[in-house]
Amino acid sequence: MSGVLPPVAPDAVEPLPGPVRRLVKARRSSGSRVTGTVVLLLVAAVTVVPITLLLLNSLNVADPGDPAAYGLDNWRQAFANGAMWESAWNTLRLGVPRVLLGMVIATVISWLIARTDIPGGKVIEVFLWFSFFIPSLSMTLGWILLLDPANGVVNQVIRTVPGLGDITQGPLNIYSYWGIIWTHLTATTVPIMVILLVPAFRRMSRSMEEAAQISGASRLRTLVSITVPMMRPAIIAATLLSFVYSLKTFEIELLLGTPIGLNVYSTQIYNWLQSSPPQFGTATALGSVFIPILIMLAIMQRFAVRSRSYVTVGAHTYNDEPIRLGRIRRWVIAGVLWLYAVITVVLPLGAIVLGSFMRRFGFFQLTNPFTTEHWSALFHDNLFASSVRNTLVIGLIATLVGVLVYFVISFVIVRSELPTRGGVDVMAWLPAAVPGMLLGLGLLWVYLGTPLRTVLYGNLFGLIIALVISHMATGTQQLKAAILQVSPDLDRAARICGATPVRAYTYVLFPLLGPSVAAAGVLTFHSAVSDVSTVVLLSSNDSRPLSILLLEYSTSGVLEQASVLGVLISALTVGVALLSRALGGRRLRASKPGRRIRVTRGTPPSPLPAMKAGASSEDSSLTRTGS
Amino acid sequence: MSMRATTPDRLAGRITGPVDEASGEPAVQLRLSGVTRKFNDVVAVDQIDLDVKRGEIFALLGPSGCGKSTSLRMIAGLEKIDQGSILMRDRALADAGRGTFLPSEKRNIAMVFQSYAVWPHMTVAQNVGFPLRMRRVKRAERRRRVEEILAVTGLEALADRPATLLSGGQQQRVALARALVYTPDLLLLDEPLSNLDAKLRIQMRREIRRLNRELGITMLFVTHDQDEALSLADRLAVMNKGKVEQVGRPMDLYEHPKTAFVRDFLGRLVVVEGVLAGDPARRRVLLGSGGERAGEVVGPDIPAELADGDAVGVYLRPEDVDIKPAGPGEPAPNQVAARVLSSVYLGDSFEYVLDIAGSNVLLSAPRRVVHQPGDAVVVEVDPQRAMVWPL
Repeated sequence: MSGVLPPVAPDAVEPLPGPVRRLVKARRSSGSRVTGTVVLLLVAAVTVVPITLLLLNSLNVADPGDPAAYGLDNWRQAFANGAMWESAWNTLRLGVPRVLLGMVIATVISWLIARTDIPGGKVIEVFLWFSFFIPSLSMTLGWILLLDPANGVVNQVIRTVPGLGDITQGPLNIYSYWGIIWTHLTATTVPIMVILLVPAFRRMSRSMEEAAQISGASRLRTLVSITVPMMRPAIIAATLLSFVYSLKTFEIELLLGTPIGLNVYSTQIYNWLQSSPPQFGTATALGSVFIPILIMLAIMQRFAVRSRSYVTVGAHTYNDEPIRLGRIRRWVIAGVLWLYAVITVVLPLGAIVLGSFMRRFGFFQLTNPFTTEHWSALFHDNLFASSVRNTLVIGLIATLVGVLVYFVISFVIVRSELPTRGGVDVMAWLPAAVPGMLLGLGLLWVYLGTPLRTVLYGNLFGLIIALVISHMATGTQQLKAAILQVSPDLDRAARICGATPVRAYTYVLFPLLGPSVAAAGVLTFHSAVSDVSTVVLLSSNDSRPLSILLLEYSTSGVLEQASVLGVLISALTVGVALLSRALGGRRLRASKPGRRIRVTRGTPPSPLPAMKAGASSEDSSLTRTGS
Repeated sequence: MSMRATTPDRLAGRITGPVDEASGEPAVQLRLSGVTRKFNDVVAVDQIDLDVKRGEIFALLGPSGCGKSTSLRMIAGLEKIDQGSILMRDRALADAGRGTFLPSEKRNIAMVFQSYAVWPHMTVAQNVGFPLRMRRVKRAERRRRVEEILAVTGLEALADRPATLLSGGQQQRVALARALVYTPDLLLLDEPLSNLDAKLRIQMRREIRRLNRELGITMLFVTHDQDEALSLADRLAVMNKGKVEQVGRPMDLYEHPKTAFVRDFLGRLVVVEGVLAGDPARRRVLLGSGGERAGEVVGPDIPAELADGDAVGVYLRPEDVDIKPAGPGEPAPNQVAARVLSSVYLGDSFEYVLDIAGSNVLLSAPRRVVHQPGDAVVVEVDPQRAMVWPL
C-alpha cells in the first residue's frame, strides 16, 4: 500500500527541535492510564500467562488438573535424564548448521533474484513462496517417499546405475541427521529467508554498488565489501527469524528423527507426554529450559530489525538496472537455480501425488502398481469427514477471531495514545518467540487447571484460542504495517466532513485497509490449517483437524493414505496462497497510479511482514501523509 | 481556473460578512477563551484568547512546537481541551468548564490537511461529494453542488479522475473543494502553501484569497512560514511556547512588534548597539560600543521607560537602509560609519558584510552602486523606521 498517492513534495528530513520532540512524545502517551493498563493486561493475559504457567508448573510435581504440589523433582528428573541433554544437544547441532547453510543459500538466491538479470527470477521466487505455503508435513512426506532407504524413488533410480553392486538399501537415507537438515532447508529455512530477503535486496539503492564499481571494485569485490555488509542487518534478522520459525516445526523431526532415536527438544517433550504414564513434569521442565533461550533469540531478532541504520532504503530505487551477469553465465546460473527449485519443490510434491495413486509406494514392479483406492478409502474414512469439518471450522473461526483481535491490537499500537502502547506491542509479539509445542504445553496447563476444562480441553474452542495466540505476532505485524500506511488524516478528514466515527471507518479506513486485512486473514487461515505443533497436544478424537490426522497417518506408516491427505492439505493451502496473491495483485492495480505499477509487478505480498514492519511505530504515524 | 461568467446563486451575495451593529466591526465568528491543553506535564497550549472575525483570513504563526497545530486540532475537535472554551458564534464547540465537547462531525467546520488527506480510493467527485453524502443530501442536489464547486475551484475536467492520479496542487484543490462544498462556518487550513513549489504557491495564495472573498467563508490557518502568514492573512497571531505573543494585521506586527520574540521572528533585522542620550523630549542614540562612535540616530520612537545613558539596540530592517560612499569628516546625523569587509554579487543585488563599530552585519544593496572590500561607507537610517529596544 505504500505510495497510494504520488509524492507531493520531498519531505525535508530534519531533526525535530527539542520542544516539538517533547510535545510529540507527550502527546503520543497522553491517553488514559487506566484504559492503557487494562488493554495491556488483556493482551498479556493470553500471551504471557501460558508461558508463565509453563515455568511455574515445571515446579509442580502433580499432573495437570490435580491439586498442585511443588517441588524440584521435575528438574531433578529432567537433568538426571540423559534424554534431556541429548535432545538439547540435537536441537543445537541440527539447528545451527542448517541455519548457517540456509543463510548462505538464501542470500545468494535472494541477491540473484532481486539484483541481477537472471532469467525467470520471478518464477523462482514464486516457487519458493509456494514451498513456504505447502505444509512442511507434506514436504516431509514427499522426501520420505523419495529418499526412503529401501523404497525411495531416488534411491531406486540410483541403484539402477550399474557398478554400484547389489545393494538393497540406500545409498541416500532421509532418516538421518543430514536428512533432517535437508528437509528443513527445503521446507522452512530457505523459503522463509528468501521471502524476507528479496524485498530487502530490492530496496537497497543500486547507487551504492555503482559507487563502489566506479571506485574501481570488481563485481565480486563489490558484493563482498559493499552489498553483503550493507545487507547484514537484514540478513541477520532473517536468519534469526528463520531459526525461531524452524524451531516451531516439530513434525519434521518427529517423522525423520524419532524412528532413529534422534530427538530434539520438541519431539522429546511430545514423546514424554505420549508415554504412559505421561511425564508431564519432566516435559514441562524441558520446555522451561528453552523458553528463556528462545525469548532471547527473538529479542535479538527484533533488535536486528530495529537497528535500521543501514541506508539501503531509497525512494526511487526500484527501477534500477539489474546487474548483468553475462550472456552465458546468466543462463548457467539460472539453470542451477531452476534445478534447485525443481528439486526442492516439484520433486517432493510430485512424490506425494504419485504416492497417493500407488498401490504400495515405491513398488513399481507390481503388475498393477497404480490405484485410486487410497483416495476412496480416505473419503470413506469417518475420521476424514470429521477432520475436514474440524479443520474448516477451526480455520474459519480462527481467521475471523484472529483478524479481529490482531486488528484491534494493531490499531491500539499504531493509532492510540495509550501510554502502554509499547508494552502491548511487545506482548502481542511474544508468541513469535514461543514454539507451538511449548505454547500448546502451556495452554494444556491453563486448560486443565481451570474450571473451563471441559469447554477448552480437547475442544475446538481450545484449539482456536491456541492458534489465534500462536499466529498473533505475525498477524499484528502485518496489520500494523497496513495501518501505518493509512494516514490518520484520512479518517480525520472524514470526521471533519461530517462522518460519525462509524461512518468514517466504513467509508474511508476499511476500504483502504480491506486488501491488507484480507491478506492477513488468508495467512491466518493458512497457519491455522497447516499447524501441527500447537494443536498436537490439545486436540482429541473429537477435535482432530486434518493436519493431526495427517500426522497420525504418517507416523503409523500408512504412507499412501498419508500422501492423499498431504496432497489435499497442500492443495488447500496453496489455493489459499493463490487467493492471497490475487488479492495482492488487485490491491496493486487498485491503488497504484499507472506509472508506478511496474515497480512491484508480480511481487507476492510477503507472508512475513515482520521484517519490514517490525520497526518502530512511533516515528511515522504522526507525520505520515496520505502519500 | 477562471470564474464562470455567472456566479451561482448560492455563492453570490456573501462578499462581505455581517457587521456588528454596536461597534461597526465585523462580528466575531470564533472565540477562544483561556484555552489550555496539557499532555501529561507538558503544556502545549497555555491559556490562549483569540477572536476570529467573520469573513477574515486569520493565521496562527509560530515556530515548530509553539502550540499552533494543537490549537488548530482543538478547534477541529481532534484534540480535547483541558481548560477554557471554544465558541463558534453563540454555539459552544468545546467548554472544559461545562464538559461540553462536540465531536468533529457536529462542528460544521472544514479542514484542509497539510497532507491534503484526499482519499485515494475515490474519484475527485466522490471526494468532494463525501461531506454532502454524510449530510444526506439527495443525489441530484449533490451532483449539482459538486459540479458547482468543482467549477469554482477549476477542477471540472478532473471530476472522474481517481484521486491517485493528481499532482500536489490538484490534490490541494480537491481538498479545498471538499472543504467548501458544504458551506462550513469556518475553514481550517494546516500549512496550506508549504507543500507547493514557488509558482504554485503564488497561484494558490491568490486562489484562497479569491475563494475567501467570493464565498465569504472565515478561514483560519496555521503556519511556521512567515511569508505564508504575512501574504495570506488579514490578521495573524504569533504564538510561542503555547502562548499568544501578539495579534494584529501583518503590517502592525512587522513594523511594530510588541515583544522581543515577535521582533526576532518576523523578517530579518540588523542590530547596532548604542547608548541613549539627550533630553526626554528629543532623544538620540549614540551608536557604537566601547569608546568608538560610529554615528547617531536622531528622533526614533523610544520606549518611555528607557532613560538617558541606557544601553540600547537599534534594530534596522535591511530593506530600510541605504549604503552610501562615506563623505569627508564626521558622518551626518542618521548616518552610521561602516567599512566593507566583503561583497557577493547575487545578480539582482550585492550582498555586503559590513563592519559597523566592531560588529559584522550582513546587508544587501542595489547593484547600481558598487562598493569594494575595504571601502569606507555610511549606512543611512530612516529614524522613523528604526526600532529601539533595551539591550
